[in-house]
Amino acid sequence: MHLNLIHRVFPGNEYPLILLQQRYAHELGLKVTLMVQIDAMQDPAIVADVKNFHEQYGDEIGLSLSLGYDSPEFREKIGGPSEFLWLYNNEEKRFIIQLGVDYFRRTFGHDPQSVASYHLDSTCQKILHEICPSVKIAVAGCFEEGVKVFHGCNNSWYLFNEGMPWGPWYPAKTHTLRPAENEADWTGIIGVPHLSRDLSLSYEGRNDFFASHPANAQRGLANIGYDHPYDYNLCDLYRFQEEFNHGFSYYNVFVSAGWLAGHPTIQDPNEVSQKLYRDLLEYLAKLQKQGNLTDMYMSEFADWYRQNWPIATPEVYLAKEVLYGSKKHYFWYLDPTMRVLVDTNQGGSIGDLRPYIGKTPVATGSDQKDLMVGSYPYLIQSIYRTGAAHHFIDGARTTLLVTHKDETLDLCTCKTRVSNVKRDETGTQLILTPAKMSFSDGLEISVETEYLFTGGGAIQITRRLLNVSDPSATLTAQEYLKGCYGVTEYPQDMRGITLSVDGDQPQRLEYAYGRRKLCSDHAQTVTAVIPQITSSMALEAITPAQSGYVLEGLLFSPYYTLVLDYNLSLGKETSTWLKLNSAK
Amino acid sequence: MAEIKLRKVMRCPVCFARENDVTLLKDGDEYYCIRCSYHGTADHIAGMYMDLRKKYRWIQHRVTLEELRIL
Repeated sequence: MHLNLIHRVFPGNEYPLILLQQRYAHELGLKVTLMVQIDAMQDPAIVADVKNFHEQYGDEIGLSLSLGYDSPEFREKIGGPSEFLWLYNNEEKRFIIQLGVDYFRRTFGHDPQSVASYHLDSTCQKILHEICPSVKIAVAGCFEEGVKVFHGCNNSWYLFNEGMPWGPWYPAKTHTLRPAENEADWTGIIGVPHLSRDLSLSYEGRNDFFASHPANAQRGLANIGYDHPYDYNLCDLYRFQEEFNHGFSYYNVFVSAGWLAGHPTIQDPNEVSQKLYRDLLEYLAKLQKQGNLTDMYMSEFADWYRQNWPIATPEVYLAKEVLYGSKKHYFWYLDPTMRVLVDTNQGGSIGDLRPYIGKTPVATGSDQKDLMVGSYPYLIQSIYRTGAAHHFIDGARTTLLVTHKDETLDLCTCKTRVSNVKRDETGTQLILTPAKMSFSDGLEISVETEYLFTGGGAIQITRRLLNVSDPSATLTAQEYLKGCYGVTEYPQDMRGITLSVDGDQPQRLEYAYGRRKLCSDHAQTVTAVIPQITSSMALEAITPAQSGYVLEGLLFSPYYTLVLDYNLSLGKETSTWLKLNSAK
Repeated sequence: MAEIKLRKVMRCPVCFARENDVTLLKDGDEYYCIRCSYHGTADHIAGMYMDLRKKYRWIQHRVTLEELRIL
């Protein structure tokens, strides 16, 4: 596993805590990248310390651009309450980035190669690359930071940054949370996330409770005093990902010093916070000495990544939940055309789907249409948008509905787990453990689900009827997809979406919340075109389907539904493409 | 279970159960929440924090790399 350990340098009362972080890292022999703010570069004592850290220990000096711009130039040109970099208008972004680079050059005598910001939108990366082409790498996003953290801070934390890769990536020019498809599509700066997040619990809950940041776990009450195995478990969960990603995994620790004492969301005494931070670094140092971890400076990692990880390489993450002890598995897949989450606890339903292939352009800032919402839009987000039915009808999700006589069972009510992950030149194959379903007349069946992620916006979904207690029983199955689009939990305007079905009675409708259902015999493709996010989504039968339909929603259930109907027979399988594409 | 010492800045345990960080204010010997109707002593709050931790059934369970492979 590769590690970046990052410390932010800023002036003020917490400066002694930065020195404490530094002492821990140096005592343990870990490589540190220092992210220095503009305000810190005006303090001669801090600058002397930073230079000494570089000379004595080799620490890389980078530029922190999230906050901390206070300077005579900033006060004269912009002033006012402090804003995060990505939320200023373009002119102000350019001024601040130039100011930071100028201060850095004057202070350290060279240009920075590494930069940090919690989010770094497409306008910021373009400006940064123009002003300072030496920058190779940036902390440029926080995985799944958005709605849940906004609510968790009593609706006050306006960082909407969902739908991004969980590890290092090549940010795309038109939306920096989307991985670039090729060199021409890339901003020229490698992105790394701010912290390594728990890919089970950051989907279900707040990412700032469950991350490579001991104080985050303290904030989530996931420690009991000095007892904090979760921090090590999460680290090992990232190491585990090497087994599915050609030996590669990445972890970073970027804890601001304020978390080590006096933080209002931490109820543990300061000595506990400091010990837990030290403990995590000790564990990382132990892994390093064992040869199980390679710590690098950020620019050093950028060189390694550029050389060893080609643009557009697909990645997966097998998330095993390790704090509640639920033994749940989630499976994440990512390539330049999509990010998708398979929720095995719901029979393998898709719980989150981001259609990168649509290349939805998004930039943040007071002069941008998206303002503070930098997330990549979803087509399915089961937690925000209902998912399986609990109260009224269901919402965004996929599933298989199996019918016997007059009874229909929903695969999402069956727990499954990841049985096998195989990756080769054909793509990524995910096989789940069989789902067992029992009908009220005593008929019992088991169904196996296989996903094949082939790239190009396509997922092949195969269902196999492995067992049936009465082989003469007649069974039908519906491959079922309910979608929408959005960036938060609130519905967007669906007007303008078109739904279509082919087959013997090909039909098409334009979405008007009319709850119309278009059915067709021998339908092989059911499609939704969502121009609002320049994307389309379709189910296409590989095994011939008997029929299909599209269903428009209504204002109390603002979704669209795509369905293909199959016969289900023992020992046979049904296969369907889920295809994403760009659309206008 | 070991006794847990707490700092004097505290978050509302009821709001925390909804994953919302709300800092409590103090009124005499009690703390109170300005978002919900919760109020209680430091001991009561500490007890509620421990109750909240019960959802993490593996909070004291180390899951090693070897165990992850078979989990």
